[in-house]
Amino acid sequence: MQIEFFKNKLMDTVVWLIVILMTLCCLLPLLNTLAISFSNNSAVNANQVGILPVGFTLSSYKKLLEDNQFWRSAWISVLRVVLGTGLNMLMMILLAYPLSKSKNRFASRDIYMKLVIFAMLFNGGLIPGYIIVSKLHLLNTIWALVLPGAVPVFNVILLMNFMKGLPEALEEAAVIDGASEWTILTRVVLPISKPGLATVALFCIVNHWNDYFQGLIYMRTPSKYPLQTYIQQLTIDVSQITDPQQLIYFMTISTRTLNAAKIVVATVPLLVIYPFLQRYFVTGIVIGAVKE
Amino acid sequence: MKKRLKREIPFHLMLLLPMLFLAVFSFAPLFGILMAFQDYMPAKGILQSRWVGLENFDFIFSLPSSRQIFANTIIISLGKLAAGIIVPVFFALLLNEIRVIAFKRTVQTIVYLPHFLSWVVLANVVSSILGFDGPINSLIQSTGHDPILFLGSNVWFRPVIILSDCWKEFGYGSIIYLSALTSIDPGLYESASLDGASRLQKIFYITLPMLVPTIVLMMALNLGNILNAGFDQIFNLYNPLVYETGDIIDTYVYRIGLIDMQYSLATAAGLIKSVIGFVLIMSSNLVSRKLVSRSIF
Amino acid sequence: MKVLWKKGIAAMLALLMACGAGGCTDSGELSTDTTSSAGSSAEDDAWIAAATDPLTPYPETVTVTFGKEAGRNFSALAGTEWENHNDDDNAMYDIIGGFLNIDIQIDFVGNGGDDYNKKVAMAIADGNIPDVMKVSDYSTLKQLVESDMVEDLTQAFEDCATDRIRDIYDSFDGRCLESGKIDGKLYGIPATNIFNGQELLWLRKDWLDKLNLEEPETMEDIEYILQQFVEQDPGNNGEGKTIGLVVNTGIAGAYGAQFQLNNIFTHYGAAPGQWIEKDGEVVYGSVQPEMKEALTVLRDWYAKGLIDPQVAVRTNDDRIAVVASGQCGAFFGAWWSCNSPASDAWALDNSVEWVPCVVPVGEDGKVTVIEQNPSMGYLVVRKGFEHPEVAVKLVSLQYDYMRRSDYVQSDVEKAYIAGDVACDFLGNCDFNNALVLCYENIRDILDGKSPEDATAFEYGVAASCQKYVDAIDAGQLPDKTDWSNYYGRMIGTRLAAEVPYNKISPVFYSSTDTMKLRWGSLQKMESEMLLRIVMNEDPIDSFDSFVEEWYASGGDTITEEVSAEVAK
Repeated sequence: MQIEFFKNKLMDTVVWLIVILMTLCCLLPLLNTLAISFSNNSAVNANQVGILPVGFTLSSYKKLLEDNQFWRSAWISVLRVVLGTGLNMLMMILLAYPLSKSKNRFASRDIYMKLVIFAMLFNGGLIPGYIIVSKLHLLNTIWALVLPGAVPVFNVILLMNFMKGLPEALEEAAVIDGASEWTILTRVVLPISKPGLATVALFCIVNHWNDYFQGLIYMRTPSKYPLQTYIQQLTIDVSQITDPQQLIYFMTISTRTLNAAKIVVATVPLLVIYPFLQRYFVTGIVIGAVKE
Repeated sequence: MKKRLKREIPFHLMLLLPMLFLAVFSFAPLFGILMAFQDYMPAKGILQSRWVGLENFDFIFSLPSSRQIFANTIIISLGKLAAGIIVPVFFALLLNEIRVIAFKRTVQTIVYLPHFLSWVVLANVVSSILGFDGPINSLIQSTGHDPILFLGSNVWFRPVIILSDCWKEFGYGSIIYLSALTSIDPGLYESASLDGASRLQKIFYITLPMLVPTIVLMMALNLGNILNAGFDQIFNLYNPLVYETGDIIDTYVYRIGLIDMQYSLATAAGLIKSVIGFVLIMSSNLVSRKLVSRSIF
Repeated sequence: MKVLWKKGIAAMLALLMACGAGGCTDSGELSTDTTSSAGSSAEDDAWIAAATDPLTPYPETVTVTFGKEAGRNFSALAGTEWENHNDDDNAMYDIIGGFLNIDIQIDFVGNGGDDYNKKVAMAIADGNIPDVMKVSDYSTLKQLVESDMVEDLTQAFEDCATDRIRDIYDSFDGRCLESGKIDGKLYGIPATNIFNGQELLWLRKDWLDKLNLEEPETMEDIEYILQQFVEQDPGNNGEGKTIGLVVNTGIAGAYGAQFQLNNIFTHYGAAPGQWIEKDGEVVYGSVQPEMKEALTVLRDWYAKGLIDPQVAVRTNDDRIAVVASGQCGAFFGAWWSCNSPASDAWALDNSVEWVPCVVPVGEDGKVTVIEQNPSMGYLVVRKGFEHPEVAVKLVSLQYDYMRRSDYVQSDVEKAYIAGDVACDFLGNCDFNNALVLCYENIRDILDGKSPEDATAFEYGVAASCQKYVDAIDAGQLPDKTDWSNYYGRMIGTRLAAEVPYNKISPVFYSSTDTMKLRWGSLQKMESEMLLRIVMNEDPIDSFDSFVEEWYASGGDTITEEVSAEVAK
């Protein structure tokens, strides 16, 4: 019995240790970036900064406040998240709800479903996509970041599976009461789909906020880049620069602390909304990911 | 019958707008696939460019570097697939052993977090940690070894890609296993305890077997994604030094299409990927339907 | 030509007056001759004049859309009234546009390198390019011409390039302007890449003095000095801590990069990374036997500890840090290396002194320099654009007229120049020996003369150099910028002007079809070979197997393609 007790204690300790270690692995790199952003440049260049700032200074953040482009890009990203997520939600609901019906309730359901899956698996590639956006005169406007991805198919399937899992009795009652499909959707289904909706909303927000590639492709001037594209462009590979003047310029500046500050500020909005949605998304994912 | 059809009209109406978007932004660009069978000249457009049949495909398959690129893609994504199942399962099992709820919650909040950060941001973090003067190399140097340029080495690049992806996703990946664990009947453990099973034995003979269907399902689903080795991650971490081991189909298509302006070749390579991906997803969906009677569609 | 030029000025003055932008007077007699020719209406004449003269403005505002590489340094305007200026919208567009009566509209802007090239590629794929844009290489230019998307600018260049612009291109012996031609027609106005002077070996003068060493000339001298630096530790870094020569991971072959050993390779007759003509045939320099001699010496240096043992893993920042911190007192770099890392080292420790040396000299007492690609991109005009000459007019305006010393700058232009804010459409257009001309003018200004063709920029640098001289005379500490300017211009580029050198002129700088697909891996093979041989990881004879493999992996096809291109 004594041995069993020690074995248990030992195992607990090991488990705790490993879990703490793995958690730290996730946390430390981010803390390091945070610390760099608050440290002075020479300490960073001498690699003295660990998880606590060395030579604490707010100068990077002060400099950041002066960087017009950073804030312009941040505003574009915010606008994109609001518009993009709004549109995504509308599209997902309109698509997921009819598709969640059985074939008995909605005869053409399978045809639509096949189209949706086809759209998920095949695409014409970057250039045809670009040509369409260009022909619609959306280039360089916020709509180029919002409209092409208006229907996030993967999330639609997630939400659809979630809706399929809802108790049917409620809807049946509504049908018997003579409620229209619109009423059922807005009064019955949506209110009880909160975890599913919160999950897909979080995914859409994260997608829009984190995407840099569409910004890179569809925005024609750096002044219209959303935040992540702006940050992506910060880490310029010196070997790619052909203009000697430009090369000289880049060789003479060190921006590690400033870049760290930009990353921190760009990450904060996600950290703010994340805890609110976290309690939903676990349920949302588990129910939505697969259907029995 | 008529009443039923009438009842369906709202459904069609609801679908109208989303379908319109799909038509414009997903189906219309499919015409671009025609470029793969042409020698596409931008000034002439798709309608006027010269048709070359399967020439572009022949060319791609004849290049030694394309074999390398397909191999890289598959090796990297198999690595990610393996790491992406083993580590989250392992982590879920560990976390399941912890009974202090507050601690568990905190840990979960922290480990889910990297999933939500973009590779643009994390690539900065990863490269500064693995950089010549980063903490890992400081550690290596303090043991008297020469520092390693991880992101510039063909030996290290793939492991770095796989491990950093695993680092970003393992917490999030464990969600599904954690939930599967909660659905295991506690009675099983109780009776095992009565039989005198140790904790390790319970993990190996009860918990793990109960997780198998979920593991199989996740594996089957991810198999369909095997040609997606992670554009964002690699694009933000690679450099010409590691093209040999790190260049994947998506980055290759990006480079020949947008940097070298070989539009037709890029489209052809993309099409090959789409077709293989389609077959893989369809078959993996079939497999998971047969094996564990679940499917995504 | 002279007449045209006068006409241009006159018309411009007329416009300035019309706009009320300038308080110009003396223009009466000249401005009449643009409006006096017979035959067609005055309005047509005005259009024709604008189309055939460098600086004559258009009679009505012409809207021109542009694709341009992002300018540099707009952040230098922070805190001024112009802090909102960026590549989409800035005062220079108004000023430039005002001269020619064009409305400059930016279609797209990309950061130099991949970002910009990608935007160009998208625009081309879309078949929808702006009226005027820069493309960054010859193969893109070629594709545009093959796709019939750009205008022939031969006539426009004839009409609208000023004498000075022609002189500029002539200074490259035709190599530059020729590169913009396809089948004898000029399709792209090349951006010039000026001669950057010899690659210099920057040595710590204070260390040389401390150890009673002379400045080096030969390979043996360099070796001795490096050995003394490493062994005697003049910088008190601690035993074994001093690095002899800090070297780029690429070893040699690139232009304009620091820490390369090109001089040592050319000393032995090698031309790493270049397509050269040898015995009447076009060959790739890195696979020629001369490479082996240079490599033999370098691996010997490495074995003796004279080359940075961590050469394989240092990033550029690391290399700069090593020099700045005084761990290393010797590196190769062009004249502008005075900015970084030389001035960094000086800023951290004011007792640091540097001396740039043109070494190692050969039997004729000279070093051999590889000439770089004279063109770094081309300005092209969309096929069908009504005013194709506008590209040439812009070049004449920006790189001739606005660079003259009698050109009166507005406040905002002064602020731009002071902050080194650039917003060019072409990138650069200057004499091949611009560096030398610049040095001579600055030298003359410092001597109290006022050279005729000195630009505003040169006067600015000269003033900065003067501040350095004054500070030294007064026994004060000079400002870091002044220090850099003086070391760069009066010490660094003086060497380009005064020390004779031999030239290797590569014959091909562009890309071929096979190169597009294979060059990346060949380059990688090459840089690995260089590194491994220098670091003694492979025997010197592995060079021979590299050459074989290089040819077998596509090098032979590429050599044929390049020969064919050169033969054209």
